[in-house]
Amino acid sequence: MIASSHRVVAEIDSDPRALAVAFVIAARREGIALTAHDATALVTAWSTLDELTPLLLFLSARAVLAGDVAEYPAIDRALSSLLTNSAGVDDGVEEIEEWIQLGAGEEAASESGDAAQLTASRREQLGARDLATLSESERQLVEDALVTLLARMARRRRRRNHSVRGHGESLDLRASARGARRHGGEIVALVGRRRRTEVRRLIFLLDVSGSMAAYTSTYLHFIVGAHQQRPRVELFTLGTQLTRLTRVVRGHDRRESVAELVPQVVDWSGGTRLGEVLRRFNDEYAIRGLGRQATVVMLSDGLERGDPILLGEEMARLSRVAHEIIWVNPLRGIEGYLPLAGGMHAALPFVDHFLAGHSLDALAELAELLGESA
Amino acid sequence: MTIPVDPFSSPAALRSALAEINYLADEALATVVYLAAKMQRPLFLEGEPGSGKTELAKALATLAGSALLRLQCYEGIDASQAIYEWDYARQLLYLRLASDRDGAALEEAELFDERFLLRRPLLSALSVPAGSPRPVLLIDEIDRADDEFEAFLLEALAEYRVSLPEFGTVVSENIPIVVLTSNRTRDVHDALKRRSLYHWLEQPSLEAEVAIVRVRAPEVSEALARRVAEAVATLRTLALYKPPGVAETIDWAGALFDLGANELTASLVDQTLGLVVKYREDIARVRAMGLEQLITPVGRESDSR
Repeated sequence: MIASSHRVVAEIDSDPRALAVAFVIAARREGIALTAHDATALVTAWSTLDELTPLLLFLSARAVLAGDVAEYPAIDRALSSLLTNSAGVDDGVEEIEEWIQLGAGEEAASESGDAAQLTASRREQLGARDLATLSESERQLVEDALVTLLARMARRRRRRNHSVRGHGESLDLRASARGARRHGGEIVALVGRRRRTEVRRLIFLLDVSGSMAAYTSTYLHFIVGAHQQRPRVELFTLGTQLTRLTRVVRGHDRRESVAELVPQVVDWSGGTRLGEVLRRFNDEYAIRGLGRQATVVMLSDGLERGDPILLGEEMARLSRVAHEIIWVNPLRGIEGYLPLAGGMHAALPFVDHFLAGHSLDALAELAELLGESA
Repeated sequence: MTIPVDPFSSPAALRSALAEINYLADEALATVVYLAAKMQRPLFLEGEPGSGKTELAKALATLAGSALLRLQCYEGIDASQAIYEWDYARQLLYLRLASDRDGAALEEAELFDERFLLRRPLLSALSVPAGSPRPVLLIDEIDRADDEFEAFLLEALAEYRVSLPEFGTVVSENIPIVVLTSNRTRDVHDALKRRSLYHWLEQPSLEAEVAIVRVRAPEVSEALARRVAEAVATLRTLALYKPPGVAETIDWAGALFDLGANELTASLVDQTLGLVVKYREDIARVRAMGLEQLITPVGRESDSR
């Protein structure tokens, strides 16, 4: 491959900075957060290479710009469009394309009009009202009330973790020696060390299928609110695909975070194949360590479009690593509901707590439970 | 071993030097390792368990001609285990001796002398003198450590210096090659990722895996290596609790060779399944599927992934 004949490669000699900036801009257009520093790093990277082939150009740009495997497809798209649009690049492109595995488009499973419409239960109190029946202003009231509720949960956690001073499990030599220095090298008091208690990881799996649409916004408020009260909260959404949204949950302003979360759920109100998506969660996160000893909260109505047997199997796998699994199913708030639907029925043997979570009161029950497990 | 050209002179040179010591890297990996070494940035590696993250660090240490400094992270790890610690027992003894010898006051600096400094992997990596072989530091499974620990690391890896309050600042004269690995059990802080060059290690293709088995276990025949790699590829499609990694493929092929096998048969798989599939539930699943499914019929050469 005679690299120097390619125009992009030639461009590097004349103005590497301009090309690096073009790379960064192309990647930003694909949604990757990059800055001028990244362009500078790219220029540095190129300057270390004696011979630049188109493939090396591409691989080094990916090495510098990507921050996560999830960013590979977007970066690949950006870089290949930039490279192929430059006239004169022919030979190297094929080789580059081999590297690029554009994320196989997830099947856009369209949902037929069987979204579960919940009948309004005429209750007096807002607290007992099904979230699906609230008006916009009522919903805001409920969402704000959640904050108080979650704060209660956090106070309980602190009391539980209060540790007693005194001798610990092992000796803290560092602290003992520090004390001895004050007494001419005589150890006057031994200082103990106690294992720090760590808050359990809390993983929310939020079903964003059409049948859950009435609840998702309030649940997001609950999740973001929970994060503000305790560390180690994770959020994944389950739809036609699995999306990790933990990063967004970590914002400071609850309303802002939720507003930011909503558009990130690409398959908002699409169909759900719970089993398949849960399998991805297990394979890529839970079994690998994220789920170990964690409290997992599944927020879903269990209306499975796919194979209920698979869902059962994946729940079994998850239950073997997780500390406990809480399933919150708003359908349970309906009088006379029985978990007979295939998916829910298959999952139930592996669920430690089966809650309704359809109203503010029901969510209080969830907060209570989470406070205990913290 | 003589390496004719400097292995770190270009990605291609690095790739062939790694191949010479039996680590098969693709162009993307060679490029990112090369850049990390040249740009003096840590390499942040992620990938399936058993895809060769730790092996890479060992191979790099061999190439650099230095010992591998390894820091295994775990929940609760702190600076005293990663960077440095004072040898308190010796300090106390010294204090006692000094006060017995003469009642004179002891200079504080005497106590915080090199002699009493225990260098943990990070400090060791930063205190290699210029002119020695370049140190290689492996920080394994960073995702197991706590968030606060990342802040320590970031400080040390951004400037390649650490300050010890009692001792002064140690500035690296010989910048180490740093390899960080993660299994993605939690999101590592952006700042650390930004400081590093990121790479995701793919599970190798069938051809690459056969080649890896051949170099890591040279006694295994091409045919057997291929059968084993194909069987492992099938196993990986089964949604197992713990899908086998490349390390398992190598172990399995080696064990089959030790049993005198030239071909993979259902009865051999039956005897050795525990080497590749390590959970009872997984073994049950594979058996339920039928062990014959793992055997490629002789004569049917498959070249697909």
